[in-house]
Amino acid sequence: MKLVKNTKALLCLLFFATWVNLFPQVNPVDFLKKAKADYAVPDAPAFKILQTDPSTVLRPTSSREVAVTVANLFKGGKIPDNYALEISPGLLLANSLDNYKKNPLCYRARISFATKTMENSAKHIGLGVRLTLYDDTDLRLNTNYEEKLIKIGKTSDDLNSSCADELADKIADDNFSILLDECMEAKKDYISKKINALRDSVKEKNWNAPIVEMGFATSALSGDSLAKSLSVNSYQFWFSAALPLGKEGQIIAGLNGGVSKNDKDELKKSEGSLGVRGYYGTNNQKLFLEADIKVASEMFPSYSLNIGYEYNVTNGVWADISLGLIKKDGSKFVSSSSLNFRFATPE
Amino acid sequence: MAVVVKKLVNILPNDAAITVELEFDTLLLCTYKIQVREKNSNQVIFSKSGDNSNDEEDKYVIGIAKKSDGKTVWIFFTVIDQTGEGGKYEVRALFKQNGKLIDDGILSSGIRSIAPGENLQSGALVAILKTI
Repeated sequence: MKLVKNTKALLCLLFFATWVNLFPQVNPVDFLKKAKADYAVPDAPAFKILQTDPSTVLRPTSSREVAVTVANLFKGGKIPDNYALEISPGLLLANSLDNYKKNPLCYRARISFATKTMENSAKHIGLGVRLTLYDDTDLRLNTNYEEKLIKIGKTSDDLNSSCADELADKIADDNFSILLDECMEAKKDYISKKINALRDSVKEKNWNAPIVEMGFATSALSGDSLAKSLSVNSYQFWFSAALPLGKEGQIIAGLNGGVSKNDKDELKKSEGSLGVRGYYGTNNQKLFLEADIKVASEMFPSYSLNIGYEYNVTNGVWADISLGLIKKDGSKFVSSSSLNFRFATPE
Repeated sequence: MAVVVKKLVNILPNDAAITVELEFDTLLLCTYKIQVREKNSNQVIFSKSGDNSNDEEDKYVIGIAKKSDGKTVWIFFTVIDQTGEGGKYEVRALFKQNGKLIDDGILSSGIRSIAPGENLQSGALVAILKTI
């Protein structure tokens, strides 16, 4: 039944895509890349500004590891080769849930650092910060959810303490630990299902909760491997905010911009973009409408308006179809269309 | 697999109070139930529940030292992954006599991890009090 439903949906999407192809087109790949790039603050701004995708990223997990890593970073005043590091300032605070609640900004912040060795042996370094300024989707700060989890946790503790009733007289036995482990493990599955069901329902309810994020990055270039020869060659920022639009809608705005060196080695080449996207629908299918403007020094501004439909074909497979108008390079508006499939980790 | 740690905690037979302090080194949510049982018996003479969601001290006076020989202290805990992303944790129970940490009076779960999707881990720290 589900297969028939999905096949029908796919046929509809293919028909829609064929129909819109009757109109003058622009390259849909370029169009979508441009339209979608404006909404997300990169996870690691330093990697983004260097346009690098490091295979290995150092992520120290304690304040001591942070201190050692940073101390080793510029040992001898030299810039390391192809290096990627991401640090959470929250690690410098005590690792406690209570501290997290008092300083969520600090725990959620990420500082990224990366280096890239160019073909001419010059070194490019990037430094970035990512901040989640406000996040109502943060489950650690959801007190109502936490109270329900505490109740579940207490049920688990009560069930496990019944093991003590059974095993108190065996406490001196060699296999006591094994027996207690088996007794507690037998009760785990029941509790795990309760947690899963509760978390899924809270996530479902909060899918469009407000969230505000920003990122900043700068890059510098050095002709050799010495840190003292560094010269800043670009700055970039990202800002993104999402707000609920009733119970089934969401509006997302993204702003980013930057300045970099021009051919005359002056920090005067600038670019920026602003995008707004509205969603309406359910987790499985949504309509979206988006508008986007992009400006850059010595270039005509470009504008785009796009309407589309997103459908969860099956677990982990998404299809989206869109129709749009785009204006760039000072030309008139032209239409665009696209049909895309995305593959995500099945839930 | 549940975490089970059992240990003999040696106390001096005097009039000092025995206290247990619980510490949680984690961003995960932990609940616990602490019980004191009579020597060679199932009878619970002290029981308290708590969690790590606030900054209140998780500190309990569980009895007078000279009357505690053979009693058992059971600390059942449940560590819950709120976000589904997993995380690390360590739960410690510190046994003190007259406010001073008893030699070998620390019971620790060790640093452990909950894998994404695992949801929870349970454990028990069991101390047998023995006068010396």
